Amino acid sequence: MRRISTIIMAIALGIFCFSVSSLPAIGDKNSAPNTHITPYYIENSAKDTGSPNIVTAVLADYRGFDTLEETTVMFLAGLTTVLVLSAEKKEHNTKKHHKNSGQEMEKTTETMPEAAKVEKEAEKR
Amino acid sequence: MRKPFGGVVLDSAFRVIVPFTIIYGIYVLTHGEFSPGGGFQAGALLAVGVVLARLVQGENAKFNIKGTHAVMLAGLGAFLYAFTGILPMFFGGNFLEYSYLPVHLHETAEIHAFGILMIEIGVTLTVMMTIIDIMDVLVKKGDSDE
Repeated sequence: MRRISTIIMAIALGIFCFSVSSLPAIGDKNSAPNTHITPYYIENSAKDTGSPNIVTAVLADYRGFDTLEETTVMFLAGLTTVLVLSAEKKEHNTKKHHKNSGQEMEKTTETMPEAAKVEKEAEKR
Repeated sequence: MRKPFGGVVLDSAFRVIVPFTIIYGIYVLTHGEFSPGGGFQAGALLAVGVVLARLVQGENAKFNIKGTHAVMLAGLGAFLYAFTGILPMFFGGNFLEYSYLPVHLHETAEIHAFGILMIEIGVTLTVMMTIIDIMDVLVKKGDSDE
């Protein structure tokens, strides 16, 4: 499994390096984005969006959907981090529990995610 | 981190720095349309205030947001963004088409600005609360490891 993923990553890296070399140079006047969409933003963004800041106009108005995804991804990444870290912590606490006071343990079982509970029960069987 | 880091120096520095950070964060948020800035930067700045309060004054800091509340508020921010997108669909527009927002403003551009402000608030909430979330859970993990 590990070898396969390494090979896939190596291939992806090769494709990446190859495609970077064919990108237009930064600041190239004749590249596709600089001849079509950039002049349009510069000319019309203030009139269209009422925002004198072109960056904000593009970020929040023309490309609003993209920013929505960005926000969702950030929220989900934070949620995942919290879930992963706190799940590890709870396992640690349950091992410790037999020696320590039971107060903290009660709290952890209350907030334990359903999936973890089901897993625990399955282990017992 | 049940015990705060605070000392005389940190406490007084905290009192000076945090109000400025938060006011600057709100400024960056509300002026995102006119000057460099916007939701992501404002969220990071506002989160710094809460994180500093937590570090300096410990768990009982007055200016504190708990992890569970932070998760809920982060979701609320993402919801606010999506809601601003969906709302114009009920009034004859497309997804995220701000000119169809049900707000009584004279110019279309002003309604656009209002829509942008709404989604910036959503982004700010999500970024700020996500940072606080991660800080909170790391602090709790550190406590349980001790």
